[in-house]
Amino acid sequence: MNDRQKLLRIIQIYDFSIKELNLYLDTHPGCAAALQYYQKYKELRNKAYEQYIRQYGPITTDQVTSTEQWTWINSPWPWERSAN
Amino acid sequence: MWSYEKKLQYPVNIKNPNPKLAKAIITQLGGPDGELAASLRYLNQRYVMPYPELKGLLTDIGISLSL
Repeated sequence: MNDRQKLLRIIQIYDFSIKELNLYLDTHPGCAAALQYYQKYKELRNKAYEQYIRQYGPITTDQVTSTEQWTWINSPWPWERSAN
Repeated sequence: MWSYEKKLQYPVNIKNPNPKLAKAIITQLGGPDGELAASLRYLNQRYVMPYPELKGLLTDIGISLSL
């Protein structure tokens, strides 16, 4: 597993935790403990995203920063083996 | 991967409700020849698309039809 794949795995872990907290919070909107976890993991997720985008390129179209090249179309795509 | 935005792409205000037309429109969205079916076809065609420009285009058209 290369460095990009390691960072991607961390992002996937944070996103999974955040999604699970999201589902729990939908039915427990006043749970302070869950809300605290949600904010904590959101911050960790944002930092990991920032690093990933800077080093390896965009995950969503609005994360393209170049004014020279539309980097969205660069490989690898998620369905290509080398991406994961 | 999908995510939801809690807003409309374009404002909608229906002046004259029309159940018959509504039924036709919802079939255009979810029916056998609808937008959602087309969207899955675009997203599946990506997997055999060799050109990077068109991998991107099939992705971006495919998601726009499913929103």
